Amino acid sequence: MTTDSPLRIDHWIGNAPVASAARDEVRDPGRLADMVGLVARGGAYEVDLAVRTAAEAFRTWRETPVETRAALLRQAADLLEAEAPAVVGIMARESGMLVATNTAEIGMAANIVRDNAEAGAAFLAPEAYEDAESWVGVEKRPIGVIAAIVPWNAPIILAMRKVSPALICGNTVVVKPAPTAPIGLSLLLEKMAALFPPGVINVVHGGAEVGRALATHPLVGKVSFTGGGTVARAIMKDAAEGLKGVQFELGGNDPAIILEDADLDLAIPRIVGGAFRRSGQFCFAVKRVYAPSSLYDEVVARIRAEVDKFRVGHPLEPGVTFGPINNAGQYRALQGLLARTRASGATVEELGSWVSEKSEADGYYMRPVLVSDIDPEAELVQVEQFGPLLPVVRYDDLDAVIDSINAGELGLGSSIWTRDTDRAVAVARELETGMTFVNNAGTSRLGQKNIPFGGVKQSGIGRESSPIGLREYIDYHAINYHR
Amino acid sequence: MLDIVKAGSAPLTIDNFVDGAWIGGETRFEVRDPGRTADVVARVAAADAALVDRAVAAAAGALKSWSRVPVAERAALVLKAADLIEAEAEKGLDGLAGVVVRETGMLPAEIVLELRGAAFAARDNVTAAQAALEPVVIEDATSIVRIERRPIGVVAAIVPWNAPIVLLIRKFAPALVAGDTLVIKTPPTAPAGIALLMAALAPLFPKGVINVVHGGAEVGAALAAHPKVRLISFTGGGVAARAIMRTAADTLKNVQFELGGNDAAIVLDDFDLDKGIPMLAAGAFHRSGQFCFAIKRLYVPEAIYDAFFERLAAHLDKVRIGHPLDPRTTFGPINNPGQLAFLNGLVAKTRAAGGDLVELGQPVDPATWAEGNYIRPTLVRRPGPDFEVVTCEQFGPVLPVIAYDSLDEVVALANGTEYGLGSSIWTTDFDRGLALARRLEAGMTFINKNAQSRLGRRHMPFGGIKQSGIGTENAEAGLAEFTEIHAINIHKA
Repeated sequence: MTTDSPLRIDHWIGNAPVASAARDEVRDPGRLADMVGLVARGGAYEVDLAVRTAAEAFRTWRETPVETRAALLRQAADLLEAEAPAVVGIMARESGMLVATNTAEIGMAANIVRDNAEAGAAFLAPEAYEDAESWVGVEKRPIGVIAAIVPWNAPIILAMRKVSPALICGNTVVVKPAPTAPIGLSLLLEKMAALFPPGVINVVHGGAEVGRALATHPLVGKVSFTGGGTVARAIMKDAAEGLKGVQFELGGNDPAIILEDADLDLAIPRIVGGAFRRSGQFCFAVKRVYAPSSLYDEVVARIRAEVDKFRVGHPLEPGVTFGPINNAGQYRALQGLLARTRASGATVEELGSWVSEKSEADGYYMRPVLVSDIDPEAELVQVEQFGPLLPVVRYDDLDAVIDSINAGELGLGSSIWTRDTDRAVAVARELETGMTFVNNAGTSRLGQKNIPFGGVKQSGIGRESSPIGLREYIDYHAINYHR
Repeated sequence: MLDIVKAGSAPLTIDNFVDGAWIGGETRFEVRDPGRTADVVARVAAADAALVDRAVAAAAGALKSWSRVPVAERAALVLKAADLIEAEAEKGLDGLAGVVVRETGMLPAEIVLELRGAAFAARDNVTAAQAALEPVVIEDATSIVRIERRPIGVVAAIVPWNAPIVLLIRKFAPALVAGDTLVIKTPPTAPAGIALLMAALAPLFPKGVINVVHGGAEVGAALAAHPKVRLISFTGGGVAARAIMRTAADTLKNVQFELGGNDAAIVLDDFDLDKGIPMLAAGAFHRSGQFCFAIKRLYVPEAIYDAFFERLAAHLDKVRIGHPLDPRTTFGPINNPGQLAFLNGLVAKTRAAGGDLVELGQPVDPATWAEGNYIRPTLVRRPGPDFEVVTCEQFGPVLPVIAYDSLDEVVALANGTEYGLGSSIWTTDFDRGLALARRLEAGMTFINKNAQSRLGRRHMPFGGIKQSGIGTENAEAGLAEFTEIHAINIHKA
């Protein structure tokens, strides 16, 4: 591995770089001595410049035919795929995610862009109704400038889930990348923005100050945010001053419920992938497993065997299948949770093996952890850990499991594992979550395109993807002509 | 259905309705007749945070079983409610309208129309629900996707005083047909009609599905803060909406707001003065100007301005201002003293700024003028663009009439506001009207009548953009606000 000199990343406003006096370091979470980038730190000034630029671009972009916008988005999707090899390495260095994960992410992001491009024309077509006394037109308009605030864990997909529906509907965007994974996204957005008229896609880097400036800027029409609940609450309070709409995709504490008739050969690898991919750092990761008493020991044994295959190390080391935690705050939270879980008396097993052993001085490494014999009300079961600590809970009474899940505040995803799909649907309908996956821990390709992605209760407001997600990026204009 | 008390009779006693029981209390506030403020129309039990908590708990408790009632059965019950509302409308002042007229100050004909509109709103939301609540199923070789609609949960419906029945039913009907349960907060100056209507309708539904609490901002705040409320559907003003959203943020609630507007009416040069003036006047002065999508600014081409102004003034000068229950009255009072004081202040500021104010109409009975919240309909001739009466939402019968030279100029003026609720265009040329409508920044544009046609009620998402609201009501798009989505992705292998 070589340590390249840090990349200097600026804001991107009106298809030109804009620097700031202050810069933030981005360090490799798997090799803390490695400074990956120096990123401009924006504030209210840069946000104002970007938003005014986006608002100016909106005046003409909104008039562009939807077919033109779709064609540009399809070009953007092709460009993402073409540029993937150039950025997956630096993404691994800034986020700690595996190169293969980043490659897959960019591929999925390109699909999301294509899906939104394809859905736009039908969605935006006006409806009209007519009778002897009147004519009614129901038309859809872009909102204006959209603030897209993106987290570090899957920045390309999560940005494209906002940028592509916003653009196909005729909005312009200001994207705020996450401070611990801004580089890959920035490089891709700069290239992508060049396909569009200046000001349609803008990027401002920084922390909470930039988020706040976006949420309070009078020319921002809507804030679309993926991240945590605490930040979402602050954004919503700021947005309230300007009565802006908000769309939030937040965390989850997604249960995987194994029924007695589950096909464990199929289920276990998928559950383990669903829990430990990205070292557990994704919103709809399996955060807890419920296994029936009759299968409990077998489920634990099989998960243990599967998890133990992970090879832990730096994402650029050959053979690594399990990378570090993205940042110090998250690492410390996980270490604390691990210590408390150990103290609680549950069975805690650190699994996997090092490709080459690391210390805390090297980076935010942890091995994947399986927790069994755990109380259903234990902290690890009831909180969103957002990391590689997986509790497996024994149950005898499925109704009690459902009640316990529904008593929680979060409701993003869930998964059910059974050979009986009718039963799966019946159980799914009892679960208070925005999504339920059956016999997998995520969406199929059909699901990616058609599922309104998002959560209920404290897991979010509104939805992303699919024609239902496009609704978040338009205002209705109803016209009533009286004859 | 309702045992209604006539004007001048003893005040009604109005209680909170929680979990199927009427709950009074020590603390009561009075509702006064805006046309004769010495008259107490009702004494109303004020809810507190503890009672709000009980109401939300009742609604949350009823949610599970109510959400499992088949959609067709929920729809049938809402349609039954629509029939009961319509039957009330048929009774005229002998029915619910008698109470609503006395507490709101609106004319009897307006309230009867409002009740009919409420029945339509209930039926239209049921019609929209038939398709909108059906699951969508998509399948390919490897997977099945089911997109199902669920109730969003407990809905807090916060309703204003200016058209309390129809604005409540726009929330009530979609919520109930979607399987949600309700806590309704009534407006402090018009709570009685809603309470009596809900007393009549609640027995149709299981206990706890409908709850009603009375009070002011503190009751709204308690609802916005309650963790079990999942949607706040609020119709009212922007200041209250901001406060609700700030509070709702702590528990990440959904919000749907229908707020005020500063709706521009644009008259084109082919306007038919004979046919159009009465229609246009109604669009501004109906309900004494107190409705959200009332015409708030009127733009008239310079070439026809003087003739137009004379005709409009002559038309308005015929109104007779008085108590709504006096049969001679064609123009009622302002609902409450605060709003009247705001309007009188606006008139004074407009005059002080050099405005040319033309006060019109005559009192029915000058001797009783001071007994109610009365103001004459007033036109402001050729005000400057920065006059407060042009830039604010007056929500009352003081209308600025502005001359314009070009369409580009008038579009810029119409859009130069932070509001964007409705708008109207007055022309005999459909194509020209439609082309202009598409340039206006508003959630709705009405052409040749500032109202929804029957078809419009069914299909128009009702609501505003910019500072005029978040989300929408009515039609399939409005119904969606009262649901959550549950997507199920079945992997075949």
